[in-house]
Amino acid sequence: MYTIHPDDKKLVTAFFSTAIVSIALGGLMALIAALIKAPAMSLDNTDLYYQALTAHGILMFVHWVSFMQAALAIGTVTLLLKGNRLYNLQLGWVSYAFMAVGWLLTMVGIFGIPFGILEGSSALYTAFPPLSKQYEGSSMIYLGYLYMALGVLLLMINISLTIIKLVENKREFSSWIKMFDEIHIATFASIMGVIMVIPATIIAFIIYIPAFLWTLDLAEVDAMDWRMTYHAMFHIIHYIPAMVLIGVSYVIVEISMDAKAAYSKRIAKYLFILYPATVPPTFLYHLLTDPGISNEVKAIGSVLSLLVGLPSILHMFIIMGMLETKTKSAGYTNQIGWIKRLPWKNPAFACMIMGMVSMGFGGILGYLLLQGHIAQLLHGTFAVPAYIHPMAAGGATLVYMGASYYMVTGIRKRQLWNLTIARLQPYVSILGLFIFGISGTIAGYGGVPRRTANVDLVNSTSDWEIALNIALLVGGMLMIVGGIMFVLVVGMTTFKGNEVNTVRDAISVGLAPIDLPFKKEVKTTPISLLPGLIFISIILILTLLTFWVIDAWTIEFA
Amino acid sequence: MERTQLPDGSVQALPLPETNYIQAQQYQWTPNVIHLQIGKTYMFVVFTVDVVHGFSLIMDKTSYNTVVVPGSPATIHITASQVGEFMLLCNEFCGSAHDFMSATFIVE
Repeated sequence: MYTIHPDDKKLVTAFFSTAIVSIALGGLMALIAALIKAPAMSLDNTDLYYQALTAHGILMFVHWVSFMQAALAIGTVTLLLKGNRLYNLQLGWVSYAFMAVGWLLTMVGIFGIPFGILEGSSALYTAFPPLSKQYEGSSMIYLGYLYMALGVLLLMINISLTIIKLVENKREFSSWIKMFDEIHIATFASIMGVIMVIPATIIAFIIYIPAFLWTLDLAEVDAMDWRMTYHAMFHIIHYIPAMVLIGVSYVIVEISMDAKAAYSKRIAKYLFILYPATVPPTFLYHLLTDPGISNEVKAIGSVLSLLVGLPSILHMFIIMGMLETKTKSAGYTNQIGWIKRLPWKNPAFACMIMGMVSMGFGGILGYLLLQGHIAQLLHGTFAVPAYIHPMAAGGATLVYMGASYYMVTGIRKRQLWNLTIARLQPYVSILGLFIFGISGTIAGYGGVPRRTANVDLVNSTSDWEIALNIALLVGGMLMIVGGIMFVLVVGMTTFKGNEVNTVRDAISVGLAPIDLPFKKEVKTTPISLLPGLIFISIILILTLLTFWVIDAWTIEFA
Repeated sequence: MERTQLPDGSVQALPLPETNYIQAQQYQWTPNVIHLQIGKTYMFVVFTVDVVHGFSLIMDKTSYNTVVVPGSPATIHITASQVGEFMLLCNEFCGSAHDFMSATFIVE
């Protein structure tokens, strides 16, 4: 059983609680932005839309993800290592303090300070120069990002030292290998996370220090250079959730299914090395429509980007294999029937599977954007949020929600409040993500711009209004309802869940490991190959369809 | 493109080998109405004098998009194969009136 020292638990709780507040506020901002943008609502408040969109992006993409990943990272080096202590708890709290101040500063930057003290910024979470300087609050957003980056960097140092401490003889290579072999898969994923996060935080200092000084007229920034450097950082940051969700999924499978790896744990671990190896060089695909980049560089970016999904596809095969062997070994050997035996009513397990489905679905849509020619069809259109919500945001968020159910019950030693709502939540969320993704992509293909409050001008020349309305008012609202259900369950469990004495009792309602008998060991996992094959096949079909759309352009471009 | 300005204020673009320029500026494209002749190929250099803008030409059922960054003009070759009016929008958020930054390509 996993254990954690009470002092380390308090730090995890602080990060986790801030993450929950962030997703709750971020969801509220999404509601405002979606209602204003939806053509059917005819709401005309562009200023509020851009402010809400800025807050939504920062609260969800920066704060929810960062604070949650911080909590998970500490968990992987303490809880998963049987009560191992964080290297320096005080440093952990300093990290949290920096990040919390960063959180506050960004909120001040967005919403401003009343009585004319500071005007809020609607420069979006990207806050690209030179536009950002036209909003007074942008300086606070940059400063908030710097505090966040410093807090994250200190935490990564702390995590690294916690890991290094585990190596018996630091001068012997074999000691390091022994440590890597002994730690949990998710802990290994955290190490790879550290390797990716540290350069990302350094890049954050490189861009946000001059940007902050520039807002105070103390420095100059070049828009194109800044944009390119930003994308190098952004690219790494938005792939970290894709990696962390895989690490967390291994833990959820272990807890909810009591399943062990069907394939070598060492292979599963070392597959995580592919993330830092493949992610950083592929940032160029974000710049496929930027004029300052040569065609040769864009071609390299386009080709390298094909590698970026590889580790996730391989991990999904291994995780599916864990489920397949565990269930088939219990005697449910029907090639499809074993899937019915999985614990679909366990909200954490359902969140984990739906998160993976969501990431695969978003990944399919996202792969289309990685191809130079197609990027010009979709760049800046609603197809971008339509893929990023299911992929990075939805995929990670759903898996993190699954982990949250275990965290809140384990930390508080309280049973889940209202299991029915918790059980429905992952399915409501994935339905919303599917509808948002498909309808939003259709709207994007029609040219509906991504970050425009009023799309009347587009609708005067094309009729993609219905697709956008469905994406925002059906898909978007279902996603928000799913989020409300999650926050409600976590919040109510924190204060009103049945109090019990042990963690085992706390997870016994709805979250307990499924009880499967062992009949005959099964080692082959043919069905687990299917998700990857389906993923690649759909990408091929959609790519062909997209080129067909390009052929139908009434104006040819070169 | 001043020498090709038409009486109504719109502009007749010149086919290759001439270069046509489009200026992006909060919150307008200059020129604002551009005439093209069907079947001819045009080169446009799109540049911005203030913030980042997005060149998004909306066609019947789809669009063509590229980014216009200060100091990095975008070069676009266009050959129109269908008569009609096509809306040019900005699809990179460029400020408070971003939603209304538009121009028209007229293919004759």
